[in-house]
Amino acid sequence: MGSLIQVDRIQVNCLVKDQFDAIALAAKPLLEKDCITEEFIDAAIERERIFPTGLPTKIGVALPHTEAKYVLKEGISILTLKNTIVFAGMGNPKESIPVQIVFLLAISNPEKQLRILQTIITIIQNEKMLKKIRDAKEPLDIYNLVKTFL
Amino acid sequence: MKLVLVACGTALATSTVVAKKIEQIAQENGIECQTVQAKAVDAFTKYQELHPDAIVCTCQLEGDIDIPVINGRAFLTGINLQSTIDQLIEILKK
Repeated sequence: MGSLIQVDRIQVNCLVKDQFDAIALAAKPLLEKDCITEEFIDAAIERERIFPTGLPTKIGVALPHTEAKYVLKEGISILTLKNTIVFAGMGNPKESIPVQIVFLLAISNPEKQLRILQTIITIIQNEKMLKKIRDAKEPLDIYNLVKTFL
Repeated sequence: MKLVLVACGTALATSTVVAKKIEQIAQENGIECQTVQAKAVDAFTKYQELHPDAIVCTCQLEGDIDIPVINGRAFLTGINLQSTIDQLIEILKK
C-alpha cells in the first residue's frame, strides 16, 4: 500500500460537529506529517461546499479532497465517526447523505496513485468491508483490513 | 473513435478512477473510446472545443449541453452500476 495509508493517519470513533469539522480533523495527521499545507484544509472545505463528495453507500462515505497545489507529499487519512454526519451528495449538492466513514485524499498525481484510488473504490462498493471499518475499535484494525485489499 | 469527457470538481481523484473504468468497459465491449478529464469549471469549454460523444461527471455541470450527460457516481458506489454501463454503451455504440 506504499506509504499513502499509515496507521497514524487513521482515527476511529471520532466525535465531530459537522462535515467541515470532520474534514479538519481528518486533515490533522496529514498536516502534522507535512503532507499538506495549512491552506489545504480551507481549500478542501471550500471545495466540499461547491463540489460535495458524499456517496450514498449503505454506510455513507465521503471523499473530500482538493487541488494538487496544496499537497506536499501524497497521503490518505481515514476517519470513522461516532455520530453520523451529513455531507451533501457528489454531483447532487441538494442531497443529504449520512456519512460514517471519511477518506481524505491528498493526491497530486492520480495516474501514479490509481491503484490505491481504485482500492478505495473497491472497498466503498463492499458493504461488509464498510461495516468492518465503521465498527473497528483501533486504527490498526482498519489498517489491516485495508491492507488485505492491496 | 469515441470521446468521453469525464468531469469532477478537481479532475484529480474521482474522475481518474471513473475515466479508467469507462476505458475498460469500452474495451470489453469492443468500442474504441478515449477519455479526457476536466475540472468542473473547465468542462463546458472542453465540451465546446472537443465535441465529445458524452460527458460523465461526478459533479453538477453548468451551461447548455446538448449531448448525453451521465452521472458517474455509480462507478464509485457500485449502486445502479449496470444500468449506468448499459446507458454508456448504448451512447458509444451509436
